[in-house]
Amino acid sequence: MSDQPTNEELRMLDELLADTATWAEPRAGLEDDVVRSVSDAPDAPRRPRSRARVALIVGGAVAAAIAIVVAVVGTTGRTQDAYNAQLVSTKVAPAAHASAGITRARSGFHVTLDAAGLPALTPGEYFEAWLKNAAGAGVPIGTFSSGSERVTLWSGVSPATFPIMTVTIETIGVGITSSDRIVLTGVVHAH
Amino acid sequence: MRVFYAEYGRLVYVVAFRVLRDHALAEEATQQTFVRAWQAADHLDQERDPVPWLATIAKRVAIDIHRREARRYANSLENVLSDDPAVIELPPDLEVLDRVWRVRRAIDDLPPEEATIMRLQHLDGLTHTEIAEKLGVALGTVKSRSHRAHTKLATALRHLQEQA
Repeated sequence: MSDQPTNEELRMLDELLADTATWAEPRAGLEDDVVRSVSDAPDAPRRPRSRARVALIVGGAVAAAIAIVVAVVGTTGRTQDAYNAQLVSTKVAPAAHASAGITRARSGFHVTLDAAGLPALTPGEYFEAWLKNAAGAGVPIGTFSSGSERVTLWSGVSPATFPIMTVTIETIGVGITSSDRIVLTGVVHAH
Repeated sequence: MRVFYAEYGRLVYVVAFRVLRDHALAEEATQQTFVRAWQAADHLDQERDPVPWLATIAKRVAIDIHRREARRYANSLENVLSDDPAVIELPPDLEVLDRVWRVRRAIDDLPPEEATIMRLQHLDGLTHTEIAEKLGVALGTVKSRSHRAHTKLATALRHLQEQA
């Protein structure tokens, strides 16, 4: 089949592009409403609440390399000793990728991050790594400025309950919560 | 959930708005969609693109709300004019809704300069000449970017039909 669109395809496309629904934009506050609705919603009846923890996570790679992962925490509450994660790019940094290894230590969780393809920072910016829980609450696990070397980070929370790892670009003096400039994202798995 | 919403919230909203044509109802449908997705996440195939799965939930939720709203107005239909807001269109079929989110996703994946031209051309109704003047670029540049963008969007639609 030719790469050039047919007249029929272009006609269909024109119809869709003329439809205002195609261009609809949700208001900014809807995200908070959605998060609140999900937080308030009961789990599905077939799943005991104490067993399941669901982590939905996205990687925005060009070829729709997207992952949604279900992470289940055991009822015993026992935490694993070693974890890893493959972090994928987002639209903010399409060339970025990374792997992370996490091990339990006496003082917390030791994290090594090997990243590549991170964008250049401008003066006043830095990278910050986070672990997040399913509700989106994030805990910072360290900051760094080079996107091409192995980085050591420390987490005070367990990846078992904060299974989403992200790396963001932050600006000095602009808040202490995660910005929306996510350059890497992925789900942490127990070995 | 915020990461998930940031990636897919707009697509869900577009599907909901296409069915309901009302921002308040589309917001309600978007919230319900993410709640149901959350509750049904165990059914996800982790190896596959989650967007069709999420879009299917969005379509069902929006159509349910559409039917609910239609019932609310059912008693007043006998004596109203055809352009009365109480008269509600039938929801679009599922194939149309698939095309809507597919095209919107393709638009969002366009380079910003091409997406801007698509928006100005189709949403704002500007001609190529008007776009060139507005953006301060050559007319030929606008035409070539527009052509490139249309080809990409049509290709995205073709993939949908091939999958169907």
